[in-house]
Amino acid sequence: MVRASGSLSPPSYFILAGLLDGPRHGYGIIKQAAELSDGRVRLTAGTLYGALDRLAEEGLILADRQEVVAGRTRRYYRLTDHGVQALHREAARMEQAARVVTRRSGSAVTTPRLA
Amino acid sequence: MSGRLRRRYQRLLVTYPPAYRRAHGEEMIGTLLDAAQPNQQLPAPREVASLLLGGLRTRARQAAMESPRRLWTDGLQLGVLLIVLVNLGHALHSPLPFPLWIALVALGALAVLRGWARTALLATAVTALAAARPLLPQVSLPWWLPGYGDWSVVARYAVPAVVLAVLAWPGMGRPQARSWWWLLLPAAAALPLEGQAWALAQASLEVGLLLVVLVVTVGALDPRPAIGAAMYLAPGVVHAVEESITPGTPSTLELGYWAGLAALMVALAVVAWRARRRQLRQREP
Repeated sequence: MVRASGSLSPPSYFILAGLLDGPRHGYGIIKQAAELSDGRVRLTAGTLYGALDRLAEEGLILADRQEVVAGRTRRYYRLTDHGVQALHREAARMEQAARVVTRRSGSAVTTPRLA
Repeated sequence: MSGRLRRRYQRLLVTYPPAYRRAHGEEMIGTLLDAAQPNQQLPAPREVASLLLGGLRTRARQAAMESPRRLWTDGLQLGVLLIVLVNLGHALHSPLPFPLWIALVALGALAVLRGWARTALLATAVTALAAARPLLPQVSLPWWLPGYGDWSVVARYAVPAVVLAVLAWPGMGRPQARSWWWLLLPAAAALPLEGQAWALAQASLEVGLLLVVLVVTVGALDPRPAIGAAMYLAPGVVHAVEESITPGTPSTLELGYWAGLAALMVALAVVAWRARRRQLRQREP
């Protein structure tokens, strides 16, 4: 979901990132989000579908197709162009935010401590 | 293995709005079953918590998109439905020798359940007039209708008629057809219980429904259950007031009980409306 600040929440970020390679169904998105986040984002079905609804409302994803496998319904979701742009914007924002800290931490190491 | 687990997850989806369940229920079940361990029989606790919360959040999002007119129509219909179903339960529990009267009460309940506002108005208006007959001597009704002499019973029949007159107004939203499961309520009210057991069963049902109202109103920021519950409690408050002003009737406890419930309902409705306004402000660009 896009927050008031314009940034994406971590679950939404990893859901969108998981769709960069192509459409995925619900469980595929859960597995991919866990893998991409090194297990930090463990989505439940309630959280996943709440996030998918909001992302669809915001025009970042679309329902792609539906199939039934072994009696289980699977609907695939894919990124829209707007979703790709939002994801890249968020990645750039986080990269810039990370640089602020890593650059200063680097200089802090070389700066002698006063105490 | 998945048959039992599927049914358990299906039951948990009841917190989601019916239309949402129809659109996404099967897909969600499929995802939940894909994520389950082999031979898993019970839903995972974190999935249970997430589904309950997710359902309430989905309801909140949908309620925020409804127009105030729709919210009022649904809330008032819910209140009328509760009263007419309990009336039907009472009529079946201790049947008076007036089969046509019982049929009329049943017709009123069925019409409210199916969203037929005008039919419901007609049926409830006749039962309300009949119930009030001893208090209105100039009104003469046929022999096949009973009359009641106390205001609390009259209120139980008159409140639905008045509210249905509002709901039948062309400017109001059209009441929706409700689930047949609601008929369990008069069935429970008609159980052959007497005395203290009857009072206890009724109070337990009321408190149970009130807890559902509390969860839905606060969790889903939806004022409709609070509007409905406040309406359902109105005849009870009339009864408590009537008891309290009758000499020699020690009913302070009962008055306090009903007044407390009514105050809680009003507070819930205020909380829900404020939350809704806040939510609408957040949605504004």
